[in-house]
Amino acid sequence: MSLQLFEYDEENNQYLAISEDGLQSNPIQTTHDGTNGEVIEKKLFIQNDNPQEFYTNIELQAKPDSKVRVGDINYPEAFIGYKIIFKETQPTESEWASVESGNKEVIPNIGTTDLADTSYKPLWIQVSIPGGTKVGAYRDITIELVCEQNALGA
Amino acid sequence: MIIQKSFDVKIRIVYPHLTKNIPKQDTDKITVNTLLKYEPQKAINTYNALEPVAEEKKDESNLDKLTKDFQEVIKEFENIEKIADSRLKNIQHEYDLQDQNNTPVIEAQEYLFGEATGIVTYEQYKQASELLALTQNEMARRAKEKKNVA
Repeated sequence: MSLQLFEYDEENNQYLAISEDGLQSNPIQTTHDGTNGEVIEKKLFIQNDNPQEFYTNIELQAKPDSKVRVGDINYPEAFIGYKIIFKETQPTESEWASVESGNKEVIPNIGTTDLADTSYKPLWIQVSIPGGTKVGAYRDITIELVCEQNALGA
Repeated sequence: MIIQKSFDVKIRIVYPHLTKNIPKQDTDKITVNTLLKYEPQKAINTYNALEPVAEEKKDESNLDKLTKDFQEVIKEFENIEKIADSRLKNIQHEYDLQDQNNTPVIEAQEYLFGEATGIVTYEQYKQASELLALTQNEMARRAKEKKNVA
């Protein structure tokens, strides 16, 4: 039990946990037009499911932290862009532009030494695919979470 | 205690113009075979995609349909060929038996059909072409045999 990432399933009104460590049973999935390129923004949630713990120094980052090269022979310098912003409402264009792909997003502490916080907190990811990207599925990017886990009262 | 976790990501790349005619229920199951069905040339170009677009098994029904479609196209071509043959039958070439410039045609007609008539029909032309092809194939086969033996 710990911090977990979720996506919200509107059809069934439930939060679905994102799979980890290459299991790929429920990855953070986006589908893009490879011909023209496409940018997709998706809302996720982070949640502490342990009422006895609170979390500090929380960071989320897409890895590898440099852009992943996906270009074909016609677009040799094309890269996937992957950004994360912790925010309730969908970030604006300028907010996205202000962060670099592979940014390390710092999340405010979840809970305090007196009280755990088990609410679902929204964040946003933006995945950008350039035009001329080959058809395929990329699974070699992950979202890395690093945090400090603390027991209540500590 | 420091916690580290690695959450899975999957980024799918598709070519929407290839999927515009694919029923919605199939759009999540786009495979190389589906591309073959709708855009053969593009499927060939994307055959070296990083990995299969979908993990599911090959869709055999699409391959069967594709095979059937090709067979129907071939059948149509055969029909066209029959019609062309039927019309071309009426075409013939007349030549002067007395003209020495026509000696090769005269000799060829005699060798192949026993008699030079001064008229070469399309049917005779076809037979001669087929015989030429057979002869060339046989010569090539014998040359290869000779090479293997050597």
